Amino acid sequence: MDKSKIAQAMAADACNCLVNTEAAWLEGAAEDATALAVEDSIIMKGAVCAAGSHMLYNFRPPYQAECIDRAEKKGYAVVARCNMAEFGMGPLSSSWFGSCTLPGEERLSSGAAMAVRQGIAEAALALDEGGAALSAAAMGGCVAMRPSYGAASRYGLISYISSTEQLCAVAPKLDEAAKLLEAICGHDGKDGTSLQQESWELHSPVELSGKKVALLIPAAARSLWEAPLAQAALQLEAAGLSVETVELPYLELAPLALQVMSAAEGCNNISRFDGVKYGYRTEKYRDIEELYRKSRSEAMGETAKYKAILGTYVLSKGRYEQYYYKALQVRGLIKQAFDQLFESYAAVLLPGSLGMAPLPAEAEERFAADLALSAAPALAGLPVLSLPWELADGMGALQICADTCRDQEALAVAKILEGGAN
Amino acid sequence: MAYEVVMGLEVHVELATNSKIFCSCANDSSQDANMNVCPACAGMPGMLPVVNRAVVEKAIAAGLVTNCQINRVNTFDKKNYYYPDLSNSYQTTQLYAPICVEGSVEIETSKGKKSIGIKQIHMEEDAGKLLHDDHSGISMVDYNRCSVPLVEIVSKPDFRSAEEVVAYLEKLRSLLRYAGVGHCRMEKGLMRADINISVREKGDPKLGVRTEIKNMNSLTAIQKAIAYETERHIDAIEWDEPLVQETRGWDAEKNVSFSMREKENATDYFYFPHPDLPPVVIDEEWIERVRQALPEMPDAKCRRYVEELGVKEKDARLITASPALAALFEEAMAAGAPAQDAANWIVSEVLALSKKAGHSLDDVSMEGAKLAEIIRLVNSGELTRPNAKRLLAAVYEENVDVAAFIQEQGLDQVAGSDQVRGLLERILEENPKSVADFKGGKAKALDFLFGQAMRELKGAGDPAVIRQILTELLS
Repeated sequence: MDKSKIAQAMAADACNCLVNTEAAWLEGAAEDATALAVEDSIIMKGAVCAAGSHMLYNFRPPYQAECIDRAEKKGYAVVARCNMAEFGMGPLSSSWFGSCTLPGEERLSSGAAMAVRQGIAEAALALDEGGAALSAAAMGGCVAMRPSYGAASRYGLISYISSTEQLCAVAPKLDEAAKLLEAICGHDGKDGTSLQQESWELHSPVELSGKKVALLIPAAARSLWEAPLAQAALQLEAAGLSVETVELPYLELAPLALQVMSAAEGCNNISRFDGVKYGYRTEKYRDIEELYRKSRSEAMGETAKYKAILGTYVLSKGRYEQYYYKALQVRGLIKQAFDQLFESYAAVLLPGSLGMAPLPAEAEERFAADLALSAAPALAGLPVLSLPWELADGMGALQICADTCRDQEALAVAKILEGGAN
Repeated sequence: MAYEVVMGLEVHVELATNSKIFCSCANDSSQDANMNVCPACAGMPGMLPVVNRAVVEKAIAAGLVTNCQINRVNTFDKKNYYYPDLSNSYQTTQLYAPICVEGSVEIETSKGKKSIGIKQIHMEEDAGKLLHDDHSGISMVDYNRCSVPLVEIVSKPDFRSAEEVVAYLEKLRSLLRYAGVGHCRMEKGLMRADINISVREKGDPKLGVRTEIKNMNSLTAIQKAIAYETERHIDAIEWDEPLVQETRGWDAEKNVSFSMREKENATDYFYFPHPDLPPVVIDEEWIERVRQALPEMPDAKCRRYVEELGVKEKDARLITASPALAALFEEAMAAGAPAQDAANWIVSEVLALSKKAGHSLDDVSMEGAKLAEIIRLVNSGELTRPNAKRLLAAVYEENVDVAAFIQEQGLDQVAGSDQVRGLLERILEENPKSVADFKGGKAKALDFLFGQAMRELKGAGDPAVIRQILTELLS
């Protein structure tokens, strides 16, 4: 790494992409190490790890995420922590540290993407729950890759949606993202949801010629994406693949199921932040009830509160069967639908964003709209690559996914498209 | 009006595993506060639970000794509530698929034998403890007990009297101790019972309003609480006053039950399947391995003692209730003690010693070979019964060497020697008047005879034993 260049990039940060970053990390990093940025939800021993929330403004954990240990062993050095939506919830504007934007613009982006784009890090790790981190990276001009659910250990990640979340690697190019994932993926006994596979050779050769790729265009994205996807299809065909447009049953239910799971699991995952053990505690309180209420009210943002209330509602007595249980059923159906699709297709292409990076005013609406595109692969735990893809009005995000544990196929298909994106 | 009380029990038993249920912290609540705590059981984010297989094995064992069916696919659920002793703000438990279902435990009361149905047994984690300092007004939290593994054993509403409840708890304790599931010390909170209680008119098929008395950890208190709560229900029925379905606590000092704070009455726990814990699948082979590792259980042991060894049933039942007593009995037998003799000495003498020492049946710890040796010496006439009791006490309390103690204390000289006995008999013959006086009620006459004996023995005899033999000869 070029430390002086990185230091300059940090000083010049025009995106508000860094949080809780200590200068000593860069100073202490080995010269030959690869500069890595990690999202604020990834726990780092001795550092303040706030997950974008005032609630954890002073939380310095005595332990470290498995992914950091593994990355360090493979020659990466963490030089920065990145801004993120509070607890990863909702639109990118919900960070306690203020929004992260594209350089010099109002449009919102993610800390991980902007750290990479501005040359602060050669690659970054972020936590992706439903595709938002992936699409933010692509709309910000980077690539991102999320491996199959269970490929990378979730030990030491400040969780939001435990059922779907998975680390993703953000980098300027696919090879760099894949290299980072190869470093961190593999079975970890500390994570019960970790897959048994010991190592992940994402670059292992894949024979694609003659195989079929499915094109999945949800109705809402049709006008915006039909032409750009036709372009992608041409490129794939030129590489010897055949492309067919398909439909996926239950696709429209995926964002609803993910919303329910995000409320239930999000509410539950942040319930431990109660002002008792660590993190923010209100100054004055008469009893434990007031300590809870005031600490959480004062330190949590609107989206976190919304998730807490909605989660409490969907899990309340008599409603579990109506909501969370149904969401699990939908998830099963979506998984089945994908399984069936992957019997005939090596990969699926689908839009990842309804346009370019959103302005603050459209953030809420766009977040919900984009979720309709990215929820299904996340629910099914599929490996997903996200590429910047030119749309009529600017840079959008294109998703390429493959069957679980066929990460290398998704990568191989994405690499055909990588050049054409810019 | 005749009333019938209907009760069901929820019994929490802390499992005797080395480590906690989802992390590798030691399962040892006796340590100083917060010594056995890691980021996982302290509720820090990013820590993922990994199921301790030993917990599953103990739960399988609990199911096997209570005749339950073992569920093959085990899932865990999150139970959400806020309380400072619950570090994660949720407790991991099994709501939708408990590990054991549909079992039974046979009990015996003054009314005979009865089978109590077990609805289910599920695994879960314990919460920590709050310590309130009244002086400073500060509340402190100790997470040592956080994530200590528990099973909750839920009975069917099959109890009709406090006697049945006590018999059940004693039986359950015995079964679980034998199976190595838990230490089940109620006084230490390692076994706690919640009692669901309702009262109805005899013959009424409909159950009355139910209240739950929580966290009982003494059999005496349980009996009192049941009596109190039954009366309270009957009063309410007779005076036509409303009874509220609620959770109540027991004040062991005032001997009254009281309505608990709102937190305990919260009925909604927002349960949902734990997304970080994949199902634990139990196959037939695993169950069989646990079954093979179980020792002989108390009922079978008792039957064998009675039928094969000829021990009186009452003694056999008492001895087999505790694995420690049964082990002592079997060791003494192995060292050559006749079965009923060993039983007699355990039931009368050893239990008296344990009571004096403030030990429970499970704390009894002495070498069976030494008990056998004492029995042999008594049976062969080498040791008098009173001396044998002294020796046994010394063995029980200080684990003394039998032969060395006898020699040191001169127990054999007096007791064993026909010479001493002969001497005493001669003294009695020579002093008929004193003998007559003693038998006529003059206790002092014994002192005279004792003095004569001591003089002739020139200090070689044990005064206590000589008094004892004199008393025997005179009676």
